[in-house]
Amino acid sequence: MSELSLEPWFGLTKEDAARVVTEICAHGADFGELFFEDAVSSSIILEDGVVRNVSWTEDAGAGLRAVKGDTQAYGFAQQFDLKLLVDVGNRVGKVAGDARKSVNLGALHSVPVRSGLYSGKDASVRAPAAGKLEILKRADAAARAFSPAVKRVDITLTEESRILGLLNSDGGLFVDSQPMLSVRVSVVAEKDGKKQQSMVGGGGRLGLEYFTDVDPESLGKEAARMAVEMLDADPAPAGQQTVVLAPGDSGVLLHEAVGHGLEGDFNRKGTSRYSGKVGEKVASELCTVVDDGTYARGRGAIHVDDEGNASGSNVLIEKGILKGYMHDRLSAAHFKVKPTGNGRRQSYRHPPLPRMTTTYMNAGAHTPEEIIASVKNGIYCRTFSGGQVNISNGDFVFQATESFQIEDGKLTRPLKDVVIIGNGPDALSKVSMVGNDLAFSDGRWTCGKGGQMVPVGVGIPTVRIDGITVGGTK
Amino acid sequence: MSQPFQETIKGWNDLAEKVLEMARKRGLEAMLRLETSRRLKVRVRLGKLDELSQTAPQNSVLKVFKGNRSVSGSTSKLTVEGLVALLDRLNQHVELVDEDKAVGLPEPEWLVKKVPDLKLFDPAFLDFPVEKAKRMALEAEKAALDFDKRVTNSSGAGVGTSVYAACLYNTSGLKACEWGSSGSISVSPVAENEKGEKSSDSWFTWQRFEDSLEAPMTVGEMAAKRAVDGLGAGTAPTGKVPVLFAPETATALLGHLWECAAGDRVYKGSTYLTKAEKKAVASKLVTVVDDPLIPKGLNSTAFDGEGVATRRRILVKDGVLQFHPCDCYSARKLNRESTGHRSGGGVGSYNLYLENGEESPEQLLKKMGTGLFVTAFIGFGFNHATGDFSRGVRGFWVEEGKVVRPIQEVTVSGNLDEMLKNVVAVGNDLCFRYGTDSPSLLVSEMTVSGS
Repeated sequence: MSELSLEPWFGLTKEDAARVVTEICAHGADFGELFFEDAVSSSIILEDGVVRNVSWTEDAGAGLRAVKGDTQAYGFAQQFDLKLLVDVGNRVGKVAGDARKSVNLGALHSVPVRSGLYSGKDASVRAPAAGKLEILKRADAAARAFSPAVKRVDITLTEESRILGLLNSDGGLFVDSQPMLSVRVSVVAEKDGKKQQSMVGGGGRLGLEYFTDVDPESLGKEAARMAVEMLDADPAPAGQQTVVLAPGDSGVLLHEAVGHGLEGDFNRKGTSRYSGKVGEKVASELCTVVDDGTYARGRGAIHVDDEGNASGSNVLIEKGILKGYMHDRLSAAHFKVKPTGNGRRQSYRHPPLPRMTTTYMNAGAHTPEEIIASVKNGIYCRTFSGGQVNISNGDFVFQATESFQIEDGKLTRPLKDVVIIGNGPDALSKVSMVGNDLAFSDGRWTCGKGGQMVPVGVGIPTVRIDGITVGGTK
Repeated sequence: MSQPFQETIKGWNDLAEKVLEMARKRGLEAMLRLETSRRLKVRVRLGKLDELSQTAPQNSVLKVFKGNRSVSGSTSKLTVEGLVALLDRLNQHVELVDEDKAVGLPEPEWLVKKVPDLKLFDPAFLDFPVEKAKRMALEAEKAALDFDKRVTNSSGAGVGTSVYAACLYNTSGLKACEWGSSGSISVSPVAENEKGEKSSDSWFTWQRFEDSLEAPMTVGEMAAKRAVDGLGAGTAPTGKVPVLFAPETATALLGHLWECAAGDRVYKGSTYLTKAEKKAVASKLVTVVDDPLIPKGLNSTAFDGEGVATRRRILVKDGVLQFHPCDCYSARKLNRESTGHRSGGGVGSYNLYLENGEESPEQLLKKMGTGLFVTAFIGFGFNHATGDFSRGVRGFWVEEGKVVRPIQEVTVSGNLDEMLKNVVAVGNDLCFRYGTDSPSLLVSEMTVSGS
């Protein structure tokens, strides 16, 4: 890699940045870090066919962190001004003590990062909006054409570009430019006094070329189909059911049931259901679960995490056996393992935490048809609005927005939205069939933890789970 | 009266004048919000400092209007250059949006005239000593760890303080500023039993004034009690039973009711309450008030995000929905006046509460007989368009009015419309803790899914 410079992006030379990091470490911190971010985003809102807003948001700043043992101090500044940054660095650094000590930064060097995981060198956020309006109007028209029951269509296109940079006390340096596009289509359908609302979305780390692979019409039509179909949904059954998860979006299950519990901070603290269980069986042997920051163009794709560690493809569970956790710098140091590239943060306003990237389950042997045909009576879940987990006891839920009754091996009636609740290791031990149809969710997931939101991806093949609690009303 | 950020606000007044003048010169109307805060966050874990964060974020929101067209933006660069660059960009964007009769600045008569002193600022939270915050957090965590020998671990305890100021300006002469403070203590212990089963829970206190905070020890003990009480949880039988929602879960039902009554969902038709004004939406026992003017109130404010004056309003009286809360846009869409509820990017509530009933929590348990007592939710299963409600819960199985055992891996499901109409008793335990607050609510029947 050629000589890396911070100045073109943040107006501060490497030497100035080193001056700030030296100040962060001046009171004896084990580790110090200066993180830069310059982010812009723009949303176009098409509400009921009317262009309602074309917004513009700019947020730029630098986050400063000092680490001493398991203790960290954090602060940020919203100007890339050397004097201000040195002041903040001095305050943050004092977490390590009052006396000044000599500091030896490592030789400045570019850290190894991945490349080519994002499409679109420059985010399309700065491209003229007129062409984008056309795209949204096509999705709108397709949704309205689907059925007279479609009463309202709301569409939002959000594009973002974040330029990130970092210098730490090891001398490690990187600059990365992360694009993001997300599109959301919401449809309200009404018929015979009944009403439903659907939401579909997509996107990832790319620009408008997203729409060369995905027709805007298909998004509009899918949102309309879902809302209209759910008008006739029946109440779902209550109690223990056999559940078949559709490929793709159902990966939310993995994110909640195992993902969070395998984040390094919870395990460093011993508060997770999975703490101390590396090497133990925590799932059926059909389950191999991977967290992969290199899944290209996905919302979870990163060339490098927000602490300067290259993203990885990390096997969390292999044939049912827990292999390891996802780490940031703090938890990797605690476990004396290499960082896994999972130290992520919402923005310069926040310190990094161990976070997922794209979490998926490897494909198995069965065809999806075989799996559905194997169920005499159960439910099939296709789309989800989200989920949550209780780290300590392992209970997790995920909300299915589109599901179907399975009767005698066939999908029959649509069912009203339900929440499904299970316990991580217990639910994964009940995985009895895994499909050969691994698919990834089209980018629409955002994960919240500790007050920070980060984009993530999920993937899963068709999966059968024997006996999990379905929160229906019938 | 003491005031934080006095110098900052003086600078803002000049900045706003310049930016709004530039807007006028470009033939635009505009609204500008400037905000800043100073925050301290201290987290301790197992008796040691875990994280210290001191920050002073600032931000601006600019909205421009050209006739019946409008676009908005924001920037963290609170300088003339930063804001004028944003203004120029928005001036281009505004040509791209469609004419919309509902778009525009608030009618002048809706605007706040004089900002009353709601006693929102405690000078104690300005430059709150880090050492003191650390001591309070340590004390709270220690109280949790000492509460019961089964409390074996901790996710940590935190103390946070914030002092903020925000000013709102527009090209029709609005200039309104508000400032305030808040502080909080939170504790998250983990209990473990002899079988190695873990139960975590947390508790917090959050107030405008330091002397209103619960003592660190009280918060720690409450958190520990909740964690220990959850140990050894089993499931509940699947079936239809009465459900008692503790205040910390009843608040969520109240929040959902607000969202469904709000004007932005009403004009979009994406709520089950589109035709519910002046109709029964809950049992006669339910009266809901939104009061933004409570002195020292957690969500008190004299004006909304558009500068519209706020006032106390009754949302639901004896079960009947009184009005749809609106910001300017949703109000014009629905041919009415703004109720001053532009907040947090949508139509938001202030100090929203369900009025106390007469029965104590113990009486409610007795009244329920056999059923589920819900103390925490997990997940967010709620469909605003239909009112269908299905969420994971933690809490207790109750028989003959007595708590029998803790439960987990259980869901409760129903429809919010039916749930609120099936409220058969309201507790007398209202406490202003979350900003949206309810006493305990007893719902006559819901579907519980468990074993």
